[in-house]
Amino acid sequence: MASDAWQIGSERPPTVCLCCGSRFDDGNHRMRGPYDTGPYRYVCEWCWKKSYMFFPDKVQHVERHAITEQDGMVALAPIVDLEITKGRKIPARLVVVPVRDVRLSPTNPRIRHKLPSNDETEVEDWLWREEGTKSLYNEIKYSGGLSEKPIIDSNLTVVEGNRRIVCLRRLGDQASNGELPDYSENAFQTVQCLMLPQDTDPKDVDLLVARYHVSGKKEWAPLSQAEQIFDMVNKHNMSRKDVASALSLSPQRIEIMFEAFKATLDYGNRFHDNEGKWIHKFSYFYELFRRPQLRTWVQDGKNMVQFMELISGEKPRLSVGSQVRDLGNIIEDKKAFDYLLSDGFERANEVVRVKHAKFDRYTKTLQQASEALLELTRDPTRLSKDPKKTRVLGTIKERVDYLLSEKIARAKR
Amino acid sequence: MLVEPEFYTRYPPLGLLKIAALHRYRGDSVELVRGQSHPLRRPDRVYVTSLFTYAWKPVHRAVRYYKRLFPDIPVSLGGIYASLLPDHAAASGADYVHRGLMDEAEGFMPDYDLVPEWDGSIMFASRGCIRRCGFCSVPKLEGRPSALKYSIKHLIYPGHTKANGCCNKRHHTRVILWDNNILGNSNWRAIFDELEELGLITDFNQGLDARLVTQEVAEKIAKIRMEVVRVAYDYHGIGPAVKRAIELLKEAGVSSRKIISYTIFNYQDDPKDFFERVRDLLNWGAVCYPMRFEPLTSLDKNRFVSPRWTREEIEIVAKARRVIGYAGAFPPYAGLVDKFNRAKDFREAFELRDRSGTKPPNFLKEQDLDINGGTKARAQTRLGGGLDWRETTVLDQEKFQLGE
Repeated sequence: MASDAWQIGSERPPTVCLCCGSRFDDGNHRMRGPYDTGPYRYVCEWCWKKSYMFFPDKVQHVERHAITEQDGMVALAPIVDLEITKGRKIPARLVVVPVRDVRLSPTNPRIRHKLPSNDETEVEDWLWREEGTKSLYNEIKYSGGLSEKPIIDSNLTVVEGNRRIVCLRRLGDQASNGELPDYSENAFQTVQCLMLPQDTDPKDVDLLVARYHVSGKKEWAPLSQAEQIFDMVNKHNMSRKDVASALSLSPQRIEIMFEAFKATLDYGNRFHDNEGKWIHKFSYFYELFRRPQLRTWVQDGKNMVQFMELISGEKPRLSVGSQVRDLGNIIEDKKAFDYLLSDGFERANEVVRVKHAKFDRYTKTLQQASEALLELTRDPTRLSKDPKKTRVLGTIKERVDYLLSEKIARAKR
Repeated sequence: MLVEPEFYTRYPPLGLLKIAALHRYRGDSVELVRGQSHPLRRPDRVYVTSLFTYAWKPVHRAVRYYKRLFPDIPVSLGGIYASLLPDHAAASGADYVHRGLMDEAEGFMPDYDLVPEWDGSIMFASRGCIRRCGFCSVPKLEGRPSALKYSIKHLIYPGHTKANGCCNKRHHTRVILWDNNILGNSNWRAIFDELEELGLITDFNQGLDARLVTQEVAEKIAKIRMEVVRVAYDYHGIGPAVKRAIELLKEAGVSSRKIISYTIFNYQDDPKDFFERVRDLLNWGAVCYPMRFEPLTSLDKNRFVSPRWTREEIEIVAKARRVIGYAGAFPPYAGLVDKFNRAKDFREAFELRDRSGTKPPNFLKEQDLDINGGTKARAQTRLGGGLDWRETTVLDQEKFQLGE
């Protein structure tokens, strides 16, 4: 096919690149080809080198193998201790590896529920489109490198730092295409990584990742955090208390995330869909379990089923997670709840709003105070940290006692 | 089972519809799906189509999905991408990569029953092209003109009526010719006469070769119901022919706002050359539609910057199309023609001044331009400068490896 394309009536190779039209020379535009199966029989080196242009002889068969600590390169590499929990460390090796040899992790919680497949290019595409990746790319481009080293396992699969690798790949492509005048063609071709030993316990790997993204400075979305916590409890048989102390998070938060994710999985079993949309109902369950009133409400299995029905289907009664925040008021009012079942959230919420508008501002303040007290009972450690709060509580108690005694006395009279 | 992967397209998958007709003729049942879905019945053969090379990811995704779903069923992959880059297409995991046309299906009328919402009959009165433009995939895929037809009447989908006791599928009201160079077909007169007689809205979707537009051609075009007449101004050498074609069309009664010229850039041209071609077209009274060149081996859209262009210059064009253009095109509004005539060079013509706080010029106000098969797009001025595109249209780029 290609042989008929450019050269009807011509027998000799062309003098210009059939792709970009540049005259062939002995330098950047030297001739490559012939290609019998592609649209261009002859192209120049400049076009051939573009990472996004396909030519059959560009297919690289990179032989990848697990790098063991006996390998010369790794054995000589300096050791950097990565702290997992207090006193427990993983001795990672500081190694330099070609960016293209590093594999992205399709199980990365950022993307694992969005990916249509585990293909490397799909993973790269999704990560590139992730919010914040382009800012990271600009940062790296501006600074000329990474400030934090990615962590990889001994198979060169990323444990931590997928987005950084994606950015480096893009920058490497652009540098080799001559699109980054400030950098040489070989810039961004290799990356310094921290390589975990081959025998690292998977539990420690999960803990390490959780420390970065659940309680660390680069927080994942709540769904990803919850899934990580769920895995640590279920896969590695860690108690929730242990998870909480390992991640320096409150046991309540761990509990909420765990229960919300577990409920999401139950929902997935009941209302399964092939596209995996069910997993994104997590936000509803997260809102549900964050509220003590609703948590108590769904302890009754019937209510949980009813809640799942409210968030399922083509046109769910609760169509966004934030609506769950108002569900507490709705379930308290039978009329509003009936409206929720029959007409949907807007109508039900309207009923509640009308009712609440009738409250005077003192009632509202008292309600808020009551909610604040409820929060404190859930986490009494807050009181111990702040003596002012204890004093205020004492004053409130005195006044409440007085008011109630007066009320009772008046009622008696 | 016929699979159209989830890439962007404005047209139904013609090749798959022809394969559907072939299989129905053989007595098989056929199902058309888009993307990854579960078919109603287990197929005994899967055909996946493809389009641009840079839209290869959804194609691979679809092949992998159906190979996983039906490991024992053969999956064939065809279409433009598969024909241009068969080695890359093979990596999708398809059992068979088909290059070029499927001869046994080519003669069938597409089975439009599978796309009941579609209202236009798509056809080829000829295949191939008499030219060998380096940017175009047609010479590579179809070669010299072939399969010339004398008549196209029989290719118009008759639809169904309730009276037939069947269903109420639409009778097609449009004829879309995907000929790559219909005027290179020696039978063009017969085809044009038929189109005039049919009175259906006609779209020569791939454009007319301006070098072959004569007075006779222009007069016949004026008699056909066309909402837009497309030509192309690819390089300076054909400038006189393009100018003459536009003049002849206007003399024959075709409104100049209906004459659109594709104008390739980022190919073997440079910004100065491009600027001059745009200026020429505006002065000749035609609408200029810039088309960004994309190599035929590209796996990623809009990455290629030719040696004579810079990324910044390409971005200047893109921004000008958004802000002073209309739906991506440059219409010959007096203000725009004046701006280009006064400009000394490319930058002056395309670069935008900071208009914040000033009133937009008159030529940007509330203009209707009919450029895309009858779709009226409306530009709305936004106080404080610039245009706010509430509705924009993308011209037909499906067949060329061009554009943005």
